[in-house]
Amino acid sequence: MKLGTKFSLYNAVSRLLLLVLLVGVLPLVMSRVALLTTDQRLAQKKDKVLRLIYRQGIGALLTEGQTSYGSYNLLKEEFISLEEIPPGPNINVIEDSKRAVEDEIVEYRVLSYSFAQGGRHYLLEIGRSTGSIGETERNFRQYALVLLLVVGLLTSLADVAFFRYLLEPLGTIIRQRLRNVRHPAAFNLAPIRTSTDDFRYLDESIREMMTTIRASFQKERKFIADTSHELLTPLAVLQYRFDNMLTDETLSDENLVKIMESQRTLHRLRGVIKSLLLISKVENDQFERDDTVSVRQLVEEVSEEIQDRLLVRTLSLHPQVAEDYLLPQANRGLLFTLLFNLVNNAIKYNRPDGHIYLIGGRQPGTGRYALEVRDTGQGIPKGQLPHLFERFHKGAAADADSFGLGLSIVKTIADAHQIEIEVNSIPGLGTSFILLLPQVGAEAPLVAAERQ
Amino acid sequence: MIVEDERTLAKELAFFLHQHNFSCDVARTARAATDCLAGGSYDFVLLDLGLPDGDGLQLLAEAKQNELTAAVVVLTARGAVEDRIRGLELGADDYLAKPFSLPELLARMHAITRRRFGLHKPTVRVGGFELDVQQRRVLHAGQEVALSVKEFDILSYLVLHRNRVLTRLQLTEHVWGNLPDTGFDSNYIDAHIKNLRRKLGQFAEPDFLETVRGLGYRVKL
Repeated sequence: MKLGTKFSLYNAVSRLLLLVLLVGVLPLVMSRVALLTTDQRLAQKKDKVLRLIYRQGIGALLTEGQTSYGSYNLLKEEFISLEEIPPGPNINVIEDSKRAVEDEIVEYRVLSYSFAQGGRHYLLEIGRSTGSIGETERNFRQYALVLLLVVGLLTSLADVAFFRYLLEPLGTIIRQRLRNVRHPAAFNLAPIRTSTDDFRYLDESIREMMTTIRASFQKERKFIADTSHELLTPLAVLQYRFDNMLTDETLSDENLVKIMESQRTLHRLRGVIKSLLLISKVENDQFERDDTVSVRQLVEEVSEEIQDRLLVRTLSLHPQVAEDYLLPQANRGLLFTLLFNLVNNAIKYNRPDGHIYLIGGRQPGTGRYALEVRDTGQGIPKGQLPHLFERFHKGAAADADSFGLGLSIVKTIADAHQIEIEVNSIPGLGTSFILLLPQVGAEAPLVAAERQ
Repeated sequence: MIVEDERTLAKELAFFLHQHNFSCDVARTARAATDCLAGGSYDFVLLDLGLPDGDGLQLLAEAKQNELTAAVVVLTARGAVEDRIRGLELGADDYLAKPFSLPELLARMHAITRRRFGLHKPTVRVGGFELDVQQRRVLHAGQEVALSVKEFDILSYLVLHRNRVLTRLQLTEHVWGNLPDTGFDSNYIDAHIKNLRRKLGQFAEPDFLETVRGLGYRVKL
């Protein structure tokens, strides 16, 4: 799971939990708050009434002869009562109590307060119906809930947006440095813009590593190219010299054989160097890729070129290209070498009177065009498959004259053309190499690299 | 090998020569040409003098010093007589001024082959057979012997180097030298010789095609 997704999930879950918690706790808090507010208001009213009495005397409420005073508002939500009571301990409480008002019983929050005035004792009661308290509480609760939801949503969105903004450089690092990189030559080393130190440090470290990789890669390529170049010339001189010596008729048979053996060694040496040079040149992108190559034509050309070898081994080749495919931006010569090497291997490791199938067509599932080279040979042991394309890897079945570079060449050419290779093999039954061609319309490797 | 920096021209040349059963490598710089020359065994080098990284004449001088055996045809837009003389002095076999026609080039190449191998005409008599290097045919009493491309390559190479033993390796290099990492397998040459003998034997005994024990093959005339 991506970091961004994880964070969004965490964000959503935590906000949800918070909301649930608040919805559970809120009513309790609200009713408590409402109660306290009511008590406070009752106390304020009490003070007001007491001030009135101190200023105007008890006569402001009780006229001469009256011992009690009571007043309700119209909806019986509030009342004030004052009555004379016998002397006793001071009362100062706020509590819920039920009162009969006219013909119904209403529940009130009542403040009771006793005081003395002019030698007499009075009890002041101020009440507020709990029903009206609950109503305010409910209103309040609704507003609070909406507010909570809105705030929660807004902060979540803000968090996600900010986190995305924060993580953007990391995404760029992953895309630009790690995911789209195929070849050191195509590395893009432009620093990524970010104000986050951690990302800057990460990017710098990766860039440093990439620079090192590229440098050693270039060194290796240059080394191969230089050595091959420097070695081939003297080898050619030796070769021509041996050729000329062979024409000397005074040479003894014994010496002739020695020269032939030397020539064979020389041939082998040149073969290895030429193959390495070819690989290095393909990797260095020194071959032009401006041909459009028809798979069918390629199969025909290779089949024709290899015909004589088939005859020698009494093998039959079955080219079956149902649908043609045009591979653009390709090098015809290199693709010929690729297919020739594969078919040549299929010949080399086949059984007598065996078969070789060259099957071209779209794959049923993916619709991708594939060219398969299948033989009825001895197969490749499973343990060897991962090392098949390594340089100088020789299978147990390889003959003494094999360089172990044929499949390296195949792989290098395939890579340069964005062709994927799948190998399947069943020991004793045969081997199949499947070339998965790039989709037409997909950008060629170089173009893609440049666009980066 | 075609040494030519002008890409379209090189491609056209390669295409034309491919049609006439030559397999070609193309080098577009002097450095690439040196690599190719050292790495392959070529019959012909078609050399353009103006290369981006050096002079073709310089390349020719170095190659000849390294005992290059291929025939060299110098191709150039420079028509100067000194260039021509210097090229021929350095060992070039012929000289063509651009623009030239492709059939003209082919004719010159055939002429060089005849000259190199001491032939007076494009056909060589071998036993009761007549081998036409130019038309790539073998006739017996006017009747054509059907040979595969490789079989003809091997036979004509042996005939051109008549009276000389060619090792299996030399024949392999000549016939398959342009293919990388195919390994050397003398079986293929032996099989081709066997087929050649069988096909020729239907017309007349090919006793001119000798196996030299332990060495290779020879056409004795």
